[in-house]
Amino acid sequence: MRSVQSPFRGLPDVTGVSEDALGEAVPRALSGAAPQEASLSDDALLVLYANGDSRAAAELMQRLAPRSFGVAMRVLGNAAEAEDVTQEAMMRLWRMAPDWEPGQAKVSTWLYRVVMNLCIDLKRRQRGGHIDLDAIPEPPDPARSAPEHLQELARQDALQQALMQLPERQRQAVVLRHIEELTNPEISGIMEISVEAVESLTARGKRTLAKILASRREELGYSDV
Amino acid sequence: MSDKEKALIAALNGSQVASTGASLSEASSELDAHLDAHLDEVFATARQTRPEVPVSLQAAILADAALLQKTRVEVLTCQTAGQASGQITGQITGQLRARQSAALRLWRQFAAAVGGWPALGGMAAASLAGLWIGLAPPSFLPDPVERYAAFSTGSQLMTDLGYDVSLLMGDEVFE
Repeated sequence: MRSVQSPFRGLPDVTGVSEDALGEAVPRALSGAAPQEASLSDDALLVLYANGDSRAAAELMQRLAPRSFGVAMRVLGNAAEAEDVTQEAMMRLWRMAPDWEPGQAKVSTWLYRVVMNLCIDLKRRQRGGHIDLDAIPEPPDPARSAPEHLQELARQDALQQALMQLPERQRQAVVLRHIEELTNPEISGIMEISVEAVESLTARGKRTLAKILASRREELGYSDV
Repeated sequence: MSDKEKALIAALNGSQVASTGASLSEASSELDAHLDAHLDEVFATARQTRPEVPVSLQAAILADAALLQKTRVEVLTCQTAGQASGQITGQITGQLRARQSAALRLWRQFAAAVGGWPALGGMAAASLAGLWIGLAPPSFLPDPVERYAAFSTGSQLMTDLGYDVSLLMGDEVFE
């Protein structure tokens, strides 16, 4: 077993705790994180997790789940589906932890690839006639009634609507390149295509997006350039 | 869409190229730059407003992690216990082997002392011949088994004894 000293002495141990208790423990666990955790790489955290340190899981989730969820949201355009994909991707991360070889690849790159593949699988199943009741869009949050929030939502919604008009691979490439800000070689590794193909996908996707959004620029409150 | 963009699009359509003084390629690239700048602004907003992971999802992810970790720890514990059991078995086997090797070493020393395997073979043959002669002796030798059987039969012994006693007593009476 690989050994890495745990820096999480100040955090509660959540191993074997019920889901309800975990729901309460999540914010507490994350807010009480030890200062050493920021200096640890994803690799080291994964080794710690594999060695039985449950608090390493909390730190990994804090780092990786938002990225997974954000990408899944942008690619799928549905919160419920994005949640399912994120949970499954993180589950695969936990399963893979004991076999992970530190230094061979970035954990985040591996996770992005899993998320993208899960998104593709989900879309394929849907095209095959599967109807997901959870795929119904969530109602708007009544708490966000301020005009700026509405405009922000409208902008995000406009971007999301425009993204959903792109072909699936273009959408993935654009999200990874311009929202996740990954490099073309990283996207190439995630999507398992050449760097030239990535450049082509992002260029075409961006051009299409620009044309779609240009027509809605004034209503979304963007100033003229 | 801004007035400038409308003018550029019109230029691209060819209706006002002369009035704006821009070439077709210049109008196209300028329009692309405007659209790119707008799109970059949209992407920047999107990066600043990433969706938050719901607490219920965080709890589910941590519950999965804890469950898998617990299962793995239990498996590792079982494996460790199995290894310990294997170590004890190995120790016992080693002790038995040590004892066996000690007995074997003693036997080899004895065989070497009496002259090796040929001598042991001769001793074994002589022992078997002696046993056979004892159980089934040749005709010219008394059979120890028959003699033992004769003496061990109680009735015959008493008859013989009674005859002798009566003779002795009769002699005494008549004398």
